[in-house]
Amino acid sequence: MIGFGKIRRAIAALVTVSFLAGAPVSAVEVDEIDWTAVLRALGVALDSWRLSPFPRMTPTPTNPPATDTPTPTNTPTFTQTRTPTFTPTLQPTQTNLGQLAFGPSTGLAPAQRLASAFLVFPYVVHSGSKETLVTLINMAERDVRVNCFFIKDAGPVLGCLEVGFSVNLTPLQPFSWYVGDGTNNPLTFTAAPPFDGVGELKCAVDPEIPDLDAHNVLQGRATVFDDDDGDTVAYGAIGFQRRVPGHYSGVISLDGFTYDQCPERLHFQVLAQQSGSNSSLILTPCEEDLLTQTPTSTVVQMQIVNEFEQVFSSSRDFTCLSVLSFSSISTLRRSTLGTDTAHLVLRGVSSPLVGMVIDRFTGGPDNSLHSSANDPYLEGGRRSTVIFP
Amino acid sequence: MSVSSIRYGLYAVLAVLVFAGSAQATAPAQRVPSAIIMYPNVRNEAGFDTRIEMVNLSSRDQQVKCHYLTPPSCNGTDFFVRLTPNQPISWLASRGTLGGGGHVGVAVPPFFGSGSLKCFVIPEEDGADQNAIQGRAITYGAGGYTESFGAIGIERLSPGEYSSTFELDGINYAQCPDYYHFTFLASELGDPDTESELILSTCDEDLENVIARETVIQFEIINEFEETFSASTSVRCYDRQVLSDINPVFSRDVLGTATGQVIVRGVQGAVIAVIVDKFVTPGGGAPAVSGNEPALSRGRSARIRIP
Repeated sequence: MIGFGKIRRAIAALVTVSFLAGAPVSAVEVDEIDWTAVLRALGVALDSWRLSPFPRMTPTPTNPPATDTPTPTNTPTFTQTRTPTFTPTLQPTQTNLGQLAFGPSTGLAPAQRLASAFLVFPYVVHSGSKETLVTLINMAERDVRVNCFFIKDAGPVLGCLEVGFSVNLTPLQPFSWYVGDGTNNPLTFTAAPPFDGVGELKCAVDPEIPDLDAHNVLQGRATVFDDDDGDTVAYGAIGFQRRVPGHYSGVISLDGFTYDQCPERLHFQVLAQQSGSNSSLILTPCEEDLLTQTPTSTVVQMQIVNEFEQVFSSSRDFTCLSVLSFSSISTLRRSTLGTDTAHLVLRGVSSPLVGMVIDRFTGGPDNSLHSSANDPYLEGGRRSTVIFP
Repeated sequence: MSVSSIRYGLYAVLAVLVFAGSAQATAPAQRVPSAIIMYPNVRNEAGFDTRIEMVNLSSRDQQVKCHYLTPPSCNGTDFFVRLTPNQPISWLASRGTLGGGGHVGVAVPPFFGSGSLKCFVIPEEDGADQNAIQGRAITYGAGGYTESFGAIGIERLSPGEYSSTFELDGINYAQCPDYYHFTFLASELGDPDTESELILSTCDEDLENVIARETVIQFEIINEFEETFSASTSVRCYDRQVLSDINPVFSRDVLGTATGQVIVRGVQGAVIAVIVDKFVTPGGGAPAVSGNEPALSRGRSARIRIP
């Protein structure tokens, strides 16, 4: 025998179904059954079912044109149209063929401005009135030891001279010093020897434990300024992340497996050399063997694209470090280029390179001389090794 | 099998589904060809002008849409730039450019005041590689004053249809940086003063509905003795503040050391941050200025909508 409670629950279920089906049921009193409302709700529910997407499928067999259902027919057409378009578009990006005669670049450029295990400061100066403030920061909440080397070109006889030192950084500690003065701070247990001349600085993290997180903790910055006139160039160090856990050995394999690879190409947007504007190009090889004091020499190939997409080229060779004035590269002159700016692409032949451009131009209300650091955009990756003593 | 074990099994499946869809919070790789570039600082005011540079690092034509945002209205001024393969272009904020010198697809209005500039690669067809551009802005004034910053680049991470809503979620596009680590020079009284400035702008933007974002900024400051301080401020679309005006903790007297590390983070949303170092050379007492770009850690999702 069906009890009144069961009937009431059945009606409530029907009302719920009708409500879920989108029927505008409101103020239903279950205790006092309003049969008119129930029937109206049922009617609305049936109407809503009739109007739901499912019944629309029913006419399909009765209406042959609709059975053709353009949707499935269109789907493969759409896919086929997209696939060939997508593939060839990607190819030029990876190879960079077209205007530039450089071959395809493979490998991955090192991601920049992240906590790193190995840093390169390509331009450090203490000469005349020029001085450099170097800053290192420990981005991790653990102690870290950093192994650093100043390297400068001491001529064809002496080769690349190095001065090494180590600093210990406490968690999140910033550490800065003027390279001409060096530093010896007994409060922070950090010391760096003075440096003289023009060179580069390379620093590697020597962690206490082999964890990957213990390697990628370092970032740095250098501010090169003229004490007399305040001419200032500041830049961030080029960083390389460690990719696998392991102990630091002094051999930094920039192979894309142990550490990030060196960039295959450097891209700069530069101001053409003209009256009042004479920028400088600073380059240093990635490859460095300080253990056997073997200097690295390489040719650098340059491709220069002006604002009209016309391409020029040039090349130079150097050892240890190169500081080139734009006025010494005829293809970077405004009179040759024909435009105010150019896209400069660099590639080291024997060794990949790191470097920067120092923009120098006149402007402003008083037509004064301005300087700024111009960090490169990086493309591709290439294997290289740095060996510390 | 008991009901509870089924329930726990369902929870486990749900948890896997939830975390499988979430992105890893990583800072965006910089100095690589990108699909979105954000210039943190553009000025055309009171004796300052800015040269804006943009370069196509790909071997294809690129269509780029840019928006210049300036307070207090935070309304966007937008324009299109068309770049041929490997083409560099540049213009002055005070003048803009109108297709001069053979730049057929380039028309840029002049910018006024100070603000931020965001540019987006608009692919000619769905699925085309959008990681193609990079840029830089050099602001200069009287007496050799120069502050230059590379644009923050955001890479497209997965191919897909173009949409005017950019999901910087670590799946479609790289996330915005979450933490900015700067080394800064402590403020110090002198002639002139050492008074560095912080430039902030929001990463989230709704330019379609012109809704300016506002967020609190938290600072963690660590001196060379590893002593830690904190401070805070807020930003609405773009702002420029002297460090010692934000809090005296940025001054040498309070900090106790000449340099420090400051970690900057937006609370309600991700931000873009750079510092302008202003100091006096220690030997000659000459005023010096330089751009100070941060190291980045972790990523944070953001959304940008353009009209």
